[in-house]
Amino acid sequence: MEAIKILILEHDPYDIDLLKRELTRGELNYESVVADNKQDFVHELKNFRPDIVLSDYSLPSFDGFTAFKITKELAPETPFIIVSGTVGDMNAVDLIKMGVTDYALKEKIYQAPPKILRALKEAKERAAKKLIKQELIDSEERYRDLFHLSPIPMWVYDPQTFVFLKVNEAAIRHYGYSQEEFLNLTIRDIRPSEDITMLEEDVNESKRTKNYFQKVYRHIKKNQEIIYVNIESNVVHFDGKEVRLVLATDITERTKHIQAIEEQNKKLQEIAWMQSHVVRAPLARLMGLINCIKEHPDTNQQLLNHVLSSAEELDKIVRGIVSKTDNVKIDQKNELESFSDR
Amino acid sequence: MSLKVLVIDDDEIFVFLHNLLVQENGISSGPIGFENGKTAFDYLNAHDNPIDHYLILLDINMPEMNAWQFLDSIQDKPYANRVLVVIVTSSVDQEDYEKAKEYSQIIRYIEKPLDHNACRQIRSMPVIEPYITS
Repeated sequence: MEAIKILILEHDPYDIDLLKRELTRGELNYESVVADNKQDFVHELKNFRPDIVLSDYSLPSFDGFTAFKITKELAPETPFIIVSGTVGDMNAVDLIKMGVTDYALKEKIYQAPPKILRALKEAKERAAKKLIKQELIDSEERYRDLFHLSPIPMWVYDPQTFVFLKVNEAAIRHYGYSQEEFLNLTIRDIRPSEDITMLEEDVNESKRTKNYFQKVYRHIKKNQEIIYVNIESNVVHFDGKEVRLVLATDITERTKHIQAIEEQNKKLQEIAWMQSHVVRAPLARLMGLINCIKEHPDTNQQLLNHVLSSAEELDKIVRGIVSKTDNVKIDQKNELESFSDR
Repeated sequence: MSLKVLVIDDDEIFVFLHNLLVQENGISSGPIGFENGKTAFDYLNAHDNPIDHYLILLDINMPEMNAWQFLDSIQDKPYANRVLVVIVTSSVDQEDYEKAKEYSQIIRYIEKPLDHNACRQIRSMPVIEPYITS
């Protein structure tokens, strides 16, 4: 074990000697520095960084109680033991009440080593507890940040009352309601009225299963804009209640893009269908007519008229396809423009 | 045994051309044309004779009754197993080709235009040849 670093505040060389001998006899592995005035005491407190302070109660230019207050200020975790010549200096109980770790009388100086060990042991335990508490606080903060600073809207609601219990900053930003407004709403209030029955059924079902839940819903923002949202939720415990933590990802743009692509696909399919059915009909007729004319060089005017009308029909169809294709392009352009408005 | 040839197509030019090809290739001297499945179906129901066998050149896309509706309609008729069908279509749609496989009457699937070569092949098919008299 490392040597215990002891700062001794004492002016009497005899008392110092006595104390050190007692510490050695108590088989303490220690190193020490001695101060006998305020300036030295403060200096050693900062530089020597003692594990424990042993202080006389009254000194010519300084006093133990002031030294205690300074220690409390500069090194609050360091145990502080008063080693006093007389009982009458100050009531030991009062000193302990004010936060002094312990009290030893010079005439019973043999008590000092066990008191030092006990004080150090308690200080160590206190430090460990404090560390655990700090870690708990840190981890709570991390999780709070994870919730509050998540870029995706999140909230917690009570499945019994549907009330919002907590909302994060992204939700406030995305939906346009302030935190206060949100906490006065229920999750019904951000849905189109025709979707509420479905919502209530889903919530009741999830209350029963307590599982992870995922579904796409329509939500209404404060400005009445309707958005498509992918909802994912899980059961969490909040203020002793079983509630649901919700992650709400806005997929409106994605949904609109898909709709636009599906719409366009349909038009392209129509064009493909025209290619295979409508265009092929007059073309096949032309080919058939030409075959026939080839076989019958003495062909009559009527067959040639059929050739011409088939060619004209084909021309009309091709023009139709061109304008249909143009429509696809225009729609595409409109879609892009409407997206850039948003 | 006689083979009656029916040409069913909503495009009168094809009816004309197919009639011509059927005659020139000696498949039939008197093919009968119909403008859609419905008129042909009505004709068969009214004029069927148990000794008659039919070769039908059938277009797919037609108003009133298309090829599939026509084929579905004849399945429970007494002449159903005396009908042989050659699909003659301007469609190059794979879906139509696959659908044609569902009907036992269909012996051939031809993309328009029908020509002499195709007619000669039809004529020499084992199911057709016995009917050819010349």
